[in-house]
Amino acid sequence: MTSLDILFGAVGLITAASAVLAVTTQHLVHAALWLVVALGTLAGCYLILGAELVALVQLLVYVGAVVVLVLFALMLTRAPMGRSPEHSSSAVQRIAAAVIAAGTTALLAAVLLPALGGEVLTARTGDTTAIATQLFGAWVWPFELLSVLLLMALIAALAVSRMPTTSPTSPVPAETEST
Amino acid sequence: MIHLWLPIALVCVLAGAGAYGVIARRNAVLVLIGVELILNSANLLFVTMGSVRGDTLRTGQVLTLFLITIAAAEIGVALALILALFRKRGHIDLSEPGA
Amino acid sequence: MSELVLQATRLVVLAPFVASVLGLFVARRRFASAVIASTGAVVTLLAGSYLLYAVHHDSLAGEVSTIGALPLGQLRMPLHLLVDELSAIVVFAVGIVGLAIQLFTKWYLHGDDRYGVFTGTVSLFLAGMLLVVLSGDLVLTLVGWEVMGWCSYLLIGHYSRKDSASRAATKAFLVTRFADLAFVIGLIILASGAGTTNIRDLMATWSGMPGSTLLTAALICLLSGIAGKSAQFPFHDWLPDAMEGPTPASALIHAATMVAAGTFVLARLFPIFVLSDPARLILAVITAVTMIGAAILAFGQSDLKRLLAYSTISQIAIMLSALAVAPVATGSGPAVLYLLSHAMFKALLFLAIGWLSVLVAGTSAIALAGGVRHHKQLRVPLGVGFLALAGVPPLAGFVAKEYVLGAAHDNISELGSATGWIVMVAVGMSVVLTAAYCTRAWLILTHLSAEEEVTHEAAIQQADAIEDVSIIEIFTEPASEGGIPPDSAPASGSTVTDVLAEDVHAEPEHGHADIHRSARLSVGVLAFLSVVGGLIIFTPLVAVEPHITWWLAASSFVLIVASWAGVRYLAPVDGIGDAASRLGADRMELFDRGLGADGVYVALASQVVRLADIVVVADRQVIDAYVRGTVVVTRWIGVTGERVHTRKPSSYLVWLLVGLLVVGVVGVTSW
Repeated sequence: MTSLDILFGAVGLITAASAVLAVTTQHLVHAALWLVVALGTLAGCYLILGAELVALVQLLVYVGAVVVLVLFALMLTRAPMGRSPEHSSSAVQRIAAAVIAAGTTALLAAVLLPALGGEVLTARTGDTTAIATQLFGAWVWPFELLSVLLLMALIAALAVSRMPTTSPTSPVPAETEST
Repeated sequence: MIHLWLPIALVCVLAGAGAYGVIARRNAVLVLIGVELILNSANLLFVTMGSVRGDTLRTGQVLTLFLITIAAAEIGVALALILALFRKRGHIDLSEPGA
Repeated sequence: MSELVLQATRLVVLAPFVASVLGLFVARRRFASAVIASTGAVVTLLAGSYLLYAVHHDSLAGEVSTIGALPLGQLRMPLHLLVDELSAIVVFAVGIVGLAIQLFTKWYLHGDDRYGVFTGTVSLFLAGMLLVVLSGDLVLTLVGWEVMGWCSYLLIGHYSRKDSASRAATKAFLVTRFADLAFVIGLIILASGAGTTNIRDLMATWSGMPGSTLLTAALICLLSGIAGKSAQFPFHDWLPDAMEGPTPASALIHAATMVAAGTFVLARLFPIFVLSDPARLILAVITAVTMIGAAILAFGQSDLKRLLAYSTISQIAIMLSALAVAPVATGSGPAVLYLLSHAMFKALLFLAIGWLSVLVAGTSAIALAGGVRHHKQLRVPLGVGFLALAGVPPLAGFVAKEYVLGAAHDNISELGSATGWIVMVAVGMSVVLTAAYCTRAWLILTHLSAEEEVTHEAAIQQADAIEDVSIIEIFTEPASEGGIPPDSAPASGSTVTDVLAEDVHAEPEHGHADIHRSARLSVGVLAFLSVVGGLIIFTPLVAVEPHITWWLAASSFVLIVASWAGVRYLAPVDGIGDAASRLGADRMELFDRGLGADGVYVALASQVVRLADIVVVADRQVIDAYVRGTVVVTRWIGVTGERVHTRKPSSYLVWLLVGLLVVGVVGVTSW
């Protein structure tokens, strides 16, 4: 066990714990906040693995933008404060969820650990220049394509939010159960 | 020097937690949080693998950046959809039968 | 060829066609329809007359382009019209008959609300016939041929509210259509063997291989179609039923078009037809059977219009038999001559009978009995018609028949084949039979009942001798007998009519039903042509030498007189003076049914229908079952799927992830 091992173990433990809390907590807003913690500590993991640019972007985009969006969405959909167990699904479905989650974990572990678990990696630090060179060299076309994707997403989000709210055939009145 | 089983274990836990969140939650925003967790487990795997091999193209880290971008786009559209759904139905409970 | 001839040729076909299309637009307006149809017919006749003049006076003959050649690779299809002596004279005859019928129709269908449609169809029919006549290309021939077939269906079925009329129309259509199958195959063989559809090129190619089996096969196939269109055995039975149509339609179909089209096509192809002895023998046998059988059936008909129909079948057979026997040197002249004269006197007979049937309201022998006694203005037209039909010298029918006999005689003396003997004997017998049924019809028409006999004793003397109708009477009577004051007749669209109208004297004391001046003119002109038509042999209009085999003429005349005397002797004085009543009522009925030919058709057709029924059942129960099965299965899947559907997104997510997990597990374990 190296010092980096210990460091990663500690940060990873926080990440895993906050991720599990984010999907299990009964407080809606808490879920979003635990997500912040999980994503933030994941950025720490990236840093330990030597990917400082990715860590930075993770902080900027995820913690800075995505989580704020999620919080906004929760606010706009009138998420209740405090515990709200009705936001979890039925017991049967939760058991199924646990089984599926365990299955997913087991499947991934069964594939990845035997193949790679024994290896040891050396973190490369100060690699940002090389990444930038590759990003605007070998990967420039996918990069451009991504910009188009972002534009499309922007337009799609606009279009969706400008959709007529109630179609004439819609039987649902503006009945709000959450207030 | 990091033993590889540590980040891989984290990948597995994150993916499992995400899958649980997708199914066990009724609120659409919370389902989205589960999806984000799964995406991040993929990101972590990319970064880890990028560090293992002689990755001259920096594939792992570049693809992680791309994935973060795609996730941002995805969450933008998804939240727009959720808001539209809320305005139309008054709630965003995915366990309720659809109209 | 000069530009004028080119345009005239195209005009001959286009004028009636345009008239029919325009006629459709004004079909509900009687006067406009009549003007358009008559104008079309007049233009056709004028253009046809000019063609006849140009062909003979300026020796202009040749091909006329139409819409340009079709680009069909190896098969050349120039789509040319062909103007020569043969087509010019037939165009002229069709033009005359067409005009006469258009004028007559205007009177005949006076009270018919579908007059416009009828007259338009007649125009289209004429366009089809003229296209066949002027066609220099097998494809154009086929187009005109089929147009006629379709128009005949419409014309025969004009009174479509009558079941019998619609059945007759369907029968005519189906029978000719069935016969046309082989006709089309024959045309295809001829065209593909020569690599062209141009008739002159094609005949030149085929002439190089006389006795070819393929040529014989093609010609026999053509004969089938011709037998269908010309109502020859065994396709003859549609023609008598076609009497369900209005009389002008019958006159049109029987006289110059439709049935004559078969003869014309064969005359056109005569240079290659003459090369195949088997085909000629088959034609001779078919026509011999037809001319004798139809003449016998004609004698026993209780309906005089059907009598005329059977006589048409018999006469067309004589026409075609001329083609079967004529040696190469004689050519198709006798057949064409017969076609022309038959066109005139048969159109005359139909129009006159139609006229009489309107006056007495019926076409049966009983209704028409004594008809010309009461309606004297019809005596001459009908007399001339029957004399010409019987072939009494010197009328047109006589001259034409002598040429057919002459052709058979030439065949026997030059070639000595059995074909010549068959035709000679058959025509000889048909002369007797034709004279017999003509006499019978005339005796019925002139019969007086017992009390009338007493009061009209003097008239009987006159009626007994049908030959009393002399040439002089014919010239004077049609214009001076019966009719109406000129001012009571509506103005006709034709200026020609007005010229003759000056000759019309009114005899109002007869109290006859009105007849239009134009209709009267039609009948008069046709009667005139039936009398003097024989003189055409002294003109260069028909390719025949002006000579008569005198012993043949004399013997046929003797036969006619003997036949007349025999029927006179047999005819009873009581009843309606019907010589055929000696046959007995049962046999009369058999004759009326055409010896059951219709039953044979029905029996054959019912087998086909049964086969079709089986196919329908197989189609519905077997093939459609699969299709319906997919519907049932799809619906079942849909209904089941809908039941499974909870419409809850979260449960779908469960299944989605379960699926992903399963796929992942399967993928990992089987890797």
